[in-house]
Amino acid sequence: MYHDSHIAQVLHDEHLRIIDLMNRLEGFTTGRKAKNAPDLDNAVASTLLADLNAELQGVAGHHFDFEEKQIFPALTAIGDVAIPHMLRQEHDLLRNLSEVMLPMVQKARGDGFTADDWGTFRDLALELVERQITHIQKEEMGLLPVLSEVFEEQQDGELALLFAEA
Amino acid sequence: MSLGATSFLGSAGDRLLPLSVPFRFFGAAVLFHLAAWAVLVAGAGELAAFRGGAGPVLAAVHLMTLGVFVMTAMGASLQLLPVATLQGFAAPARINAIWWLLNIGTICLAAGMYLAWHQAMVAGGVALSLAIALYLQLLLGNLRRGGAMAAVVAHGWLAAAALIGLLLLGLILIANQEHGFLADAQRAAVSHMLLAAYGFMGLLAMGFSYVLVPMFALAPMPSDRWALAALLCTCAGLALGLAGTWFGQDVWAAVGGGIGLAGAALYLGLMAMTLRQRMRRKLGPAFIMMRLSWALLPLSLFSGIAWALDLLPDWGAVLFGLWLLGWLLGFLLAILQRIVPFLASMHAALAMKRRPPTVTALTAAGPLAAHLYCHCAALILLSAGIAWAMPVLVSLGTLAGLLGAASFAWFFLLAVLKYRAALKAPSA
Repeated sequence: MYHDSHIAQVLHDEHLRIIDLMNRLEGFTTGRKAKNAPDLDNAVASTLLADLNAELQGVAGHHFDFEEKQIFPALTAIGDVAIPHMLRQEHDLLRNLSEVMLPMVQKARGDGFTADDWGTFRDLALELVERQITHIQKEEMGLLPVLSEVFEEQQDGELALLFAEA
Repeated sequence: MSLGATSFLGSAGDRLLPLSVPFRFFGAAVLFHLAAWAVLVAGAGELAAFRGGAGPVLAAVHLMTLGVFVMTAMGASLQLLPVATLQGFAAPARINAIWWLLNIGTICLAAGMYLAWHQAMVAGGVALSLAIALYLQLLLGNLRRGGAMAAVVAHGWLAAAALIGLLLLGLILIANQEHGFLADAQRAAVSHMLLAAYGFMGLLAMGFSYVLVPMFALAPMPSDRWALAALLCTCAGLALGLAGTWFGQDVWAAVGGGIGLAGAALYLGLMAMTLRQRMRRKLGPAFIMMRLSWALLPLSLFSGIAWALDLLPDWGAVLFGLWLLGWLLGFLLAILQRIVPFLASMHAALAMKRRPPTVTALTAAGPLAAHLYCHCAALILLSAGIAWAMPVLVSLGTLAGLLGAASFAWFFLLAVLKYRAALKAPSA
């Protein structure tokens, strides 16, 4: 999709992976079946919780840290202040949500959900899905298309490598 | 960083406008939407037999086209173009002036049309000309500097050309009301309508679809090549349709409609492909409205072709106009119900240190559902009432439209109030 910027393509691919996880999480926490705490003995639920655990533990954090250290300063330097500021605020918010949800996910992976835990988890999960999706929508529209104009070809390649290595 | 980047993105800091700028335009559009339906309720008895000329129907049409379509298009393009073209606007005073002139111009023109009051129409025409001239200055400056999204930029250029054409024709029609120098004012009025609907508004709607639909659905953007092919067909069809209408060559107009239909098929095909490739499974009720509006685009073209070839009874022209306006109104209201809470939540994130409201929290689902039902009911009742010559159905249709407009205004007001409440909350 982003033929003219490697780093934009890498970040876009990351977005696709996160969207897939968010779609699965949304499916798990909505609908008639989601009214009661689910049985976690099936492969779909346990894989989802394992992937969510990994995501909350730091996979998304890596994505956010990379953007904040490598991408946003370059945008701010050319006068694009508001969009990086807003995206950074959203990163903080998603980090906070991750911190709250992580212990719940870890407990559920060991002992399953109690009825109370499930209600709280479901609300937080739906908030995470919505905030992640709208955050990605903003990055896809307002951030990634700019990157080919901000970074030269060599720097662009280096950034893509840096993201993969970290 | 590339050397050219600083100059290319020189005003990139202005890509995000203050919320009050687009919301001022959207708020006015919501009020004009209400006013248009209210005036149409008053003129329901004249709708089925409408063939042009001053009165409530002409006033309602202009409240809708100028007050809702142009107002929304200007507000949305002022926020979306800087993102699409990577060029900022830095002209708050000019944007403010555009908003005032557009409001004053629309009110004067609609009042003049309602009351057959020529001086008010002239005053409205002058204010609108100034608003459009100022807007074009901003739009063209942005498009000239912008390098990204070639298809969107091309749609912007051609929409601007159509805007100039429709403005000139509109002014000629106002002058003709008093001095009667046009040999066939109805053909000029139809040309003005074609330029406004398929030209300016249609091209902007299509151009922004290529940005907004992929963004909301999280899907790849359609290829520029196919989007430009759709644009070429649309513009070739429009040019032939205009020539046929202007010179009284109905077959040309019909062939133009056919070419426009090919452009619409390409555009709708691209939209369908985009939605098929989407990552976001749940699209929400806005996309029901959008799909309905997309269905009305080819329907309007089929009815336009049939009308040009005299294949429809007398009411064909009114039905053509209804479906044409229905396409654009549905599309714009679908976009508005997505971008109003989206922009509000975005600006809340900028202004607040703690959890800003989500898009869902800012979206009042009840009023939107009521609007969707009323909008559909209005279209069905008006179409049936016009085709079967049943004035009671037409009246009920206009009432359903008014109720829908009130529901939509309620949704907008709630979004603004919720946004303000979130900013004032102690956690902010």
